[in-house]
Amino acid sequence: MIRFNAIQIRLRVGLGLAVAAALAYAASSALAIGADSPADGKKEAAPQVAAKDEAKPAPSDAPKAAPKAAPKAKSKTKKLTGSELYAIHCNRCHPERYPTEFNSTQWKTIATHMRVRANLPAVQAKEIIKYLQEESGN
Amino acid sequence: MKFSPHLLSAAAAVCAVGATFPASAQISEEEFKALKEMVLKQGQRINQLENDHQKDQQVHDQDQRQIHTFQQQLGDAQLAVTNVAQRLDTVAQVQPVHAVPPGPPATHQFTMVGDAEIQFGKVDGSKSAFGLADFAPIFLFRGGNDVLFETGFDTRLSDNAPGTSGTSTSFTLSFAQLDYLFNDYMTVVGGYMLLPLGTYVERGAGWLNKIPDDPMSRALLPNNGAGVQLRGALPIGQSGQSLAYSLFGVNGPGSIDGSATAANLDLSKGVGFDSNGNRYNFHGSPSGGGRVGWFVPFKPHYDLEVGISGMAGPWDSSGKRIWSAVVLDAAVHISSAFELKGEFINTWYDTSDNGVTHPHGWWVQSGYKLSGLNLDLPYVNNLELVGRYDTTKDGMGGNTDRFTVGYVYYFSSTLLFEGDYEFTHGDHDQFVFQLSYGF
Repeated sequence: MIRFNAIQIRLRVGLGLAVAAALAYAASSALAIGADSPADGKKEAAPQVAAKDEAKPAPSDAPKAAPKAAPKAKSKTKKLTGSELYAIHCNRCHPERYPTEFNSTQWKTIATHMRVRANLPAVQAKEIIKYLQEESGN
Repeated sequence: MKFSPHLLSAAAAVCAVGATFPASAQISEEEFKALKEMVLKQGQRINQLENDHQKDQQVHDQDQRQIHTFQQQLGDAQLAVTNVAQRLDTVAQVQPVHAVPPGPPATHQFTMVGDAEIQFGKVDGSKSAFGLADFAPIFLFRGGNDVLFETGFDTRLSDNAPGTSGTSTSFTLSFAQLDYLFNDYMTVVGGYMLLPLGTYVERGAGWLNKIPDDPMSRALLPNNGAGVQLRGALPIGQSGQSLAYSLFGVNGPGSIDGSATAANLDLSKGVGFDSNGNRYNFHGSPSGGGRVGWFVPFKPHYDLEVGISGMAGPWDSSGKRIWSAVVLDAAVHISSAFELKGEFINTWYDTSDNGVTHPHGWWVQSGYKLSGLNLDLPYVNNLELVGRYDTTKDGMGGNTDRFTVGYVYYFSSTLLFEGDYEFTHGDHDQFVFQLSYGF
């Protein structure tokens, strides 16, 4: 039987949460400050990411339409576009939605909800929001 | 008396004609008549000309009057424009006009999303029936760029118990939380939250789950909790890879009657208030937990995600007996056609009558869209075959295994028709058809 003194439990849980929260805050602030400083120009291997220009619903999203992998580049890191990030993230849990289903302001709200719910990196979420707003047509 | 110039001309012409004849010349009767007729005709012509002239004069007078009217109207319009210009000058002098600041026109925005499902099903040994399975709206209110309030409800309709009449509508709050996007790496969440134990609850909804029933082992975990949470994700490189974290503190599970007997564990308790509005927490100690997940996309539609999550805290009124859980989750996508995902759920809690009770279970689910066969057939391309195996042990001797086979037909990306048959060892088999709509 596992027994703990009530005060010990509260102290341990509270202290643990406080320490973890402080670490998370410190780490996030450090990352946020570091992200604001100039890039150091470090070279990275380019990822094998195929481009996908348009989002399509699941039934028509056949493998035969899946893009071929791009050849490896030796230099410069390729930043993923909003449409590529949209293709990567936005059909993991549900069929992709048409950008024209909502207007620009609604997409900002809905995509913010998805950023929190799916725990997407902010920089990627912002690119996806920008893509959806541009493609929404209104 | 005024003489028409034409008449005078004609008379002059006659005199001139008369003067040309010698005084002694005699005019014949016929010549006189011809001359008289000519004069009469001239007179008629002159009268006609005079009438035409009068008419022209009338038209001319009318035109002049119209021109005069237009000139008056133009003058009035010019006067009005001058007055407006003077007023604008006055206003501009009193209130300088500032440029509209740049930015989106709407920084606050309300919208609703959600889903609805209706079902037709039959449990082995009972009759089939239609049912309104769920109407689950989610309200989103965004206040600016960094604040989002979101809340979701589940509305269900069910018959009252046998022996009583009528139906009941249940209205359940799924979550109500305020999200503050503190920075790019941390979001602060507070309220009644979906708990990040595995990914099923956070990423599930009627129109997202390809099989209508939840995995049995999910019942071993609390889905929601009242508390606070820090969450965020760190991008790794430029390939879309990321490391996500969640850290939360909530009131935690409780006991139905406050005791520590195994059967009284209540995972849905712990919102902080009782029905009388009193602040209430059986054990007075919070539970804590979190999740770390690693997402690796190889390319669009080819990705792997793995995660580990856990939670622990007291559950009985003494606050001495601990309930704990650890969940391993994984999901893989291979092309846009194939998906495989699952969770392993392990919980244990100290009890007064059963020692350390150890409910646990796991589930694995797979889906394959027939569009991956490249058959290019109109209805086949919209079909996905799904299957799931789930098993759960309640830690008190009860074991249940279930194997589910089914399909999803996509009328559109948001309108789904699902059907499945559940072979349940340890309980009744059943079949379910469900129409789901996501909005």
